[in-house]
Amino acid sequence: MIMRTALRMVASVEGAGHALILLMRTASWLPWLWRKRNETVAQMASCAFGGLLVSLIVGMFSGMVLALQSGNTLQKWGQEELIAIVVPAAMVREMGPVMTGFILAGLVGSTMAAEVGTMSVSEEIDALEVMSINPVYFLALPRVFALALVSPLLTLFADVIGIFGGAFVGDRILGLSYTTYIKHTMDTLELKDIYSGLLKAVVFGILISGVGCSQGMRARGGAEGVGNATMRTVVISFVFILVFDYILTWAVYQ
Amino acid sequence: MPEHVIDIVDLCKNLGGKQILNRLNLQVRKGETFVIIGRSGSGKSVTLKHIVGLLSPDAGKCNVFGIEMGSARRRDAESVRRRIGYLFQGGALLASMNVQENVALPLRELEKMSEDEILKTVRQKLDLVDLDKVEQKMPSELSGGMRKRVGLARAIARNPELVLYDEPTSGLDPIGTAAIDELIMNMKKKLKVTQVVVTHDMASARRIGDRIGLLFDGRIYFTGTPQDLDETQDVVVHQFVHGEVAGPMTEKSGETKRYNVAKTPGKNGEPPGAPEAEKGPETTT
Repeated sequence: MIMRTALRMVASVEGAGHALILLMRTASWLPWLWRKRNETVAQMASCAFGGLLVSLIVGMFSGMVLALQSGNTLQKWGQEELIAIVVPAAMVREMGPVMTGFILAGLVGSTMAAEVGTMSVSEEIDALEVMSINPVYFLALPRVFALALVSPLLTLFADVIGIFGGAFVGDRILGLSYTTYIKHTMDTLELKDIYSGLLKAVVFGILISGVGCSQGMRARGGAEGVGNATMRTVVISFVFILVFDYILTWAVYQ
Repeated sequence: MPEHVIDIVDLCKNLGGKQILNRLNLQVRKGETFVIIGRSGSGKSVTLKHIVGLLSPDAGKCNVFGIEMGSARRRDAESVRRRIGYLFQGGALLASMNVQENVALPLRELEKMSEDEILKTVRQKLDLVDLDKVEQKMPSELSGGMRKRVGLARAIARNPELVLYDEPTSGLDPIGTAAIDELIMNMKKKLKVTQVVVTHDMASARRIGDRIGLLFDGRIYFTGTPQDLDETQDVVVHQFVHGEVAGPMTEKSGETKRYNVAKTPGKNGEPPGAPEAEKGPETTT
């Protein structure tokens, strides 16, 4: 049991290393991105439609829960107006990008791992190599670039709907008008909060797609191998999101 | 002396702790169809993957068109691969693309051709493999035999000089098998290509092979023409060719050479099944 857990941890660390190497190799193909523009657009559409609805629902309820929890406590001191500062800041800086990252890892990253993994076990990736078509250029480049663009877009949607979720709770439960809430939000939210959140979203998008593609490419042994690749994609992506969230927060706010 | 397109010297490969190839030597001459036969798991596909550089040897050399694939730089390996067509066992068609897109893929990605030229070439190649009105079909809509034909059309799309076939008739009915065999023979006639075919179907091997090599115990154990194969008295070859359960080929024989082969002398008084079989009967091609 302990041995198995240790082996899984080693495999995950190894997988994280492979993902970072794949991302570096993908970066070297960026000058050829225009040749993959159609695939990139198709991947963007697939990522956006795959994650939009869940991002909106999770974003809205995250904002509502934040407002409810902090509002109840702040109300004891007559400071419920502060939710107009707490909720937008928390959504834009942390909740929006991190929750969207988790959603994309679970929905899009795992799908990428399954797609690419199926190609790997059915020798389609070998066929690309034999034809002298680089799989990193052919498969990873459009996927990584697409998710790097779609992730901040979905994060923005989650941020906005989360802030409005907070406003809804403020209006209906805490007796804080929409006008007051929006005024406080506009007064206190800084540009730095927005761009740091979106920067995180871009980085998370790159990491998730890199992990999904690298795990897919390394999948071996039929359906079981594809399943393992999918599971490892989610695990590694979650860890990556949290680690890089801390690093980026430190880099921007320290 | 015939020109060798493939020259493999003392190739060794260990996969998952098992010695798959053990000092394998193989030469394939320009223009011939060489068939590699052997039991499942004996290393036939592994040999093909070394030829295209998908696997690197643990020891030994695998020269293709004069380039050592194991140590070649990526650019050199790609220049060799441009001259090779590879038909995978299941066709390895990209499931997200239709037949036309699959065959056009290497042309679109690697050749500077107009869309009209690409579509014309795709049509020509599909004609060569006797396929009609399948361009818009997805791989999942095709039968096993048709998938292999499309795979072959893609393999020859860029007019390769060497075509490798990995179990081209596995999973096909006898008529489908005969049709694929005929296709392989036609490729040689029409395109003048060198071909290496991996199979364990003896009837196919006899039909299409100019020379046949038996892979056993990690090396080419026997090489000869189909006629040599039928005439040899070697017990290993005899067991494989006739599909007998009892004999030196056991489940363990692929791992270690622990059998005791009772060889009977060949035509020239030399053991016909010696591992150095390249010295054995020569083929007239």
